[in-house]
Formats: sequence, C-alpha cells, structure tokens
Amino acid sequence: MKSKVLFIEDDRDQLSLYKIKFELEGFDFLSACNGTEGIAIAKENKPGLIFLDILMPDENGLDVLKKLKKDEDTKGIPTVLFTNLSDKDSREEGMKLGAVDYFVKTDITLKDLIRWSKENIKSS
Amino acid sequence: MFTANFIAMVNGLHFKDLDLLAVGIAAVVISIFGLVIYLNNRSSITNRTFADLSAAAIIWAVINYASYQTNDHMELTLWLWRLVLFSVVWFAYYLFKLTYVFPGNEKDFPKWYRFYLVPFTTLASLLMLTPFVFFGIPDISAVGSIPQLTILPGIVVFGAVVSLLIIGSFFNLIKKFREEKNAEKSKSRLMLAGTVITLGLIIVLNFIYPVVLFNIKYVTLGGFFVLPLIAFTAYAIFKYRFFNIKNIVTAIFAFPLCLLTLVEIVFAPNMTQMLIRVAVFLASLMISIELFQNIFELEAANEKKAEFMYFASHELRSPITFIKNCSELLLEGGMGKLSPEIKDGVQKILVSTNSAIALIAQYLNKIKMELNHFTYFITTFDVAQTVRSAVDKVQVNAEQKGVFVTLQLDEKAIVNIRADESKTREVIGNILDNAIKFTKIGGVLVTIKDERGKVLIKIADTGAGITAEMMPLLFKTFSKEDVLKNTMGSGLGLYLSNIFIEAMHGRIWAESEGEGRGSQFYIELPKV
Repeated sequence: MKSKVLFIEDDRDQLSLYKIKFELEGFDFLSACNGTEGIAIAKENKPGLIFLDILMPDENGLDVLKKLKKDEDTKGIPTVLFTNLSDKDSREEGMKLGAVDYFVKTDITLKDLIRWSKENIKSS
Repeated sequence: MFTANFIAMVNGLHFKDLDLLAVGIAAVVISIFGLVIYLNNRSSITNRTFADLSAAAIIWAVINYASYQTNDHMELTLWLWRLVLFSVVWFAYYLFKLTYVFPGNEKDFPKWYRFYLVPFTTLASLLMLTPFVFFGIPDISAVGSIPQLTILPGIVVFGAVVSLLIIGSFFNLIKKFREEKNAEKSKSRLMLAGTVITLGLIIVLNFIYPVVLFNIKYVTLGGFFVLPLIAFTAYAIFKYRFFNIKNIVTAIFAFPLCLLTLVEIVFAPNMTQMLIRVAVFLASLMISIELFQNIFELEAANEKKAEFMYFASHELRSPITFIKNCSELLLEGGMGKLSPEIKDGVQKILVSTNSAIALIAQYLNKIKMELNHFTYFITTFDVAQTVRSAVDKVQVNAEQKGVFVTLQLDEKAIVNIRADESKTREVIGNILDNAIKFTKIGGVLVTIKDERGKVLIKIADTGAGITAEMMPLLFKTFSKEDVLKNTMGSGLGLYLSNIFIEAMHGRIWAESEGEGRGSQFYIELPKV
C-alpha cells in the first residue's frame, strides 16, 4: 500500500508541484487548501505525514496544528510545519504544539523533502 | 559657583556619610539598570522581572540603611526592620523568578508556581509585617548599632522562605548553565557569577560579620552588595541586544543633569542668576523629555518595521519557492524530458533563484540584527546531513560554471552538533556559493573532520584566492566603494557567517596562499 501524505497549503500552484513530485516518488498525495478541509481529510484518510502551512487565509496553521493534536484521530500523525516564515517565535510555538519539524520552504530542496518524508512517515 | 559649592559639601562629609553615598550610588545605578533593561524590551518577561528585582533591591537598600539611622525612634525602627524583612522576601522571590525565566522572552508558569509559590511568598512577606517576627524593642540603642529587637519564632519562616528561594535560584542557574551548550550558556554564566559575588558579600558582611563577629560596620552597605548581581545580569541580558542602548542611557543620564541644574537654582547668589538657572533647568528638562519621547517613537517605528519585515519575508519567498520547486522538478525530469538548451536555461533560472533566496535571507538577517530580533533556535542535529544537502543544492551552480563540488564523507556518517541548523546551513551554503563563484577551473572539495569535542568543516577551492590585503577585511561588512572595487557582492554573507558561528561558540576562518592560488574556509563547531 502506498504511503499517504497530506499537504495543507493555500497556494494551489505550489500544491500542483508537490503533487507531481510526491506521486513520482510513489506516495499517495492528498491536499487541502484550508485548515477545516485539512482536518476533515486527515480524520478520514489517516495520512502517515502532514505538511502544514502557517499563513493561510481562514485559519492560521498553528491553530490547525492545535486542533490536529487535540483530536484523537489525528493527534498521532506526524505533522511538519512547512512555511516561508522564518521567525523564531513561530518555530518555537509550532514545536511546542507538537510539530515534528519546521521547514522553511525556500531552504529545502524537493529531493531533501522526499528523503525526509521517507524517513519520517508513519506507516499505516 | 556650583563646583565651589560641591567641593565645600564634599569637604564637610564625615566617614559615616560614605555609607549614605554608597547606598545612594547603588540605588541610582540599580534604578538606571532596571529602567534601561525594562525600556529596552518591555514585552520580555526577563526584562520585566529584572526591573521588579531592581525595584525590590532599591527598596531593600534604602530601608536597610534607614533602619540603622532611626534607633532613637523605637516604633519607626521596629517598622523599618519589619519592612527590611518584607523587602528581602520579595527580593529573593524576584531573584528566583528571574533565574526561572532567564533569558527567555516568554514563560508559561506551571501550576505549582502560580498556585503555591506566589501565594506562599505573599503570605510569608505579610507575616514579616506582624509581631510574630519582631515583637518590639525594649530599649533604645545608639544610632548605627543593631537594635535589641524582641524576636519571635516567625523569624524561622523568614529564614526558611529566603533560603529556599535562594537555593532554588542557584538550582535554576546551575541547571541552565549545565543544559545550555550555546550562546545562552554564557548569559547564564554571567548571571551565576553576579549572584555568587552578591550573595557571598551579603552572607559574609551582612550575616557572618554581625552575627558571629559582632561587627556591623558593613551592614548598612547591603544595597551596595547587590550591584554585582544587577550589573552582571544586565550585561547578560544586553549581550546580544545592543541596538538603542546608547540612546536610552543618554536619556536616563540627562535626568540627573536636570536635577543638578535644579540644585544650582537653590545656590543662585542673586535674582538674575536664579532666572538664568531656571531657564537652563527648564531647557534641559524639555530636551530630556523630548529625548525620551523620540526613543519611544523610535521603538514603536521599529516594531512596525519588524512586523512589516515578518510578512514581507513571507510574501517575497512565496513566488520564489514556486520558481525554485518548478525548476528543480523540470531538471529532475518530473515534467518530461528536456532538450539540452532548455535544461541549460532552467539551470540558469535555478541558480539565480537560489542566489535570490540567499540574498533575501542575508538582508532579513541584517534587518533582524538591527531591530534586535536576532535569535537562535538551538537544536541537536546531524551536521553531516546539513553539509550533504548544502552540497547537493549547489551542484546545479557548479554544473553551470563547469566546475566540480565534491564531498569527501562516508554516506552513513552522522556527526551530531548542537546549534541553529538553519543558520549553520546558511553559513555553509554561503561559503560554497562564494567558492563556486570565484572558481573558474577545477572545483571545490568539502571535508568534515570529527575531532575531539569539535567538528571541523573545510571548504577548499581552486579559485581566485584571497590577497593579503583582503584577508583582514573578509568577515567585515563592505562599504559601497569596497563592493564596486572588489566585485564581491554585498559582503553581507561572510560578515553574518562570522556572527552566526561565533554566537554558536564556534570559529570560522580562511586561509589562502594568495591571489589565483585558491582558498580554504574552515568552520569549527562544538560537538554535542
């Protein structure tokens, strides 16, 4: 069975690129453009890994992370904050809320992202 | 005239006045430190607690001095002694709190702190004001001596609470000192040193001397002994935050000057002189107030600028992320096979995009540094993997340039260090970028040596080399003229690299045999 990865990200163009790359590498790619949709997909599909953006129009990624970590169905899913905010406060708050890591999008190559995902995805 | 008055006043001083002078100096210096730290970052819990500790220290210093000067007024002396204990309890509490929150800007207090420690300290301090500790003074004693107070068992509570809070403070500091293995450690070390000196002085001169040797000569100087703690801690808080300190210190020193001009009015020999001095006083007061207002406005403007940069960094990076990912995907063949011409074009796009990303990071760091928002996020990570990723990332630059970049390292090697991963990656990426940029023939060789307690990363190239004149300027910021003359880019990269590595307790340096003979950059970082 393919490993499922969920991206919660409001930029559809970026989502399309991640979808190509992750599917090429053999992942089952799921995506959501906002927090509410993302939580619903996570509860239903139980992905092995969630990449979560912070600045999104309806709900901040950190608030979404809080909800994911409170929900019995989703709290065990490793969640990575995946953003272009590089300030220490967001990073510290995210890690405190239970994120497994924090990546600044411009700092990581697609190749490294795939390598990291393969090493850290939770097997379903 | 004022100088003459001042000299006459100094000549008239008695030895006992030196006590007053010492306590006065301590109170002024502590209040300046407290105010400067508080104004520098009012939102930080460490800075606010430092201000509270300073206030408690001043109150204790003044009451402690006064309690030895009023022995002929029994009721007043009794209350001053009670207030001394009251202020010491709060001083010990704020010392504990400061060591608990130090050096962070925020802190979530646990239940035991909020529900037990704070109410218990409050109750204990209030108990100090009751007759359960000092019941009364049966006899009048000489001014400057220890009054014969009737002490009740409540004093045990005082001893227990203060001892526990001070032991707790040491525990906090030693724990932080042992756990921190980076720039924060030096802050804890400074505070620990200040606390040891202050408590040492207080225990020896305010406790052992009067109680064991019956010598109270130094007891009134208690407030003065707090100075090392306050000064060392203030320095530790400011160690990485030097932004507008000069302005604040200037403004704070402007007020004592106003006070001096006010005193001069009193000594005016005639009405004309008095009017002139009143005018001088009013002018200096207005300038001081204006200076303070400007500082507050500057702070507010900086906050706005920081907020703008926070969102601007995100907005700038978002489209660049897309270009970078799209180029990477195209080059990997994820969107179909590319002709050699198109592949070359996409490689150029990726090289430029990576340069733009590095530049944005450098400018953001420079602005963060100027705004005092420069922070390190310290974790334990495998630096070998960081170097592998950095080398992978610049392969496209090297391919475009027709040079090689080789990493000599076992694929499975793990070298754990404790530092800021993002900043370490930025430094390595920056040196690799420079090495490729200045190499026309040959390439770049990267090696990692795992030495005793240290990791040494060497980036050697066969490029342009560094001249003897350029070498001392390498890690400094360039002026516009330097940039034009040397065509070395903004010059920010190496300047920031040096700041990052030093702050993470490492070392960065370069070696070169001269122009055209290549260069070697070394980064040394402490291991976990």
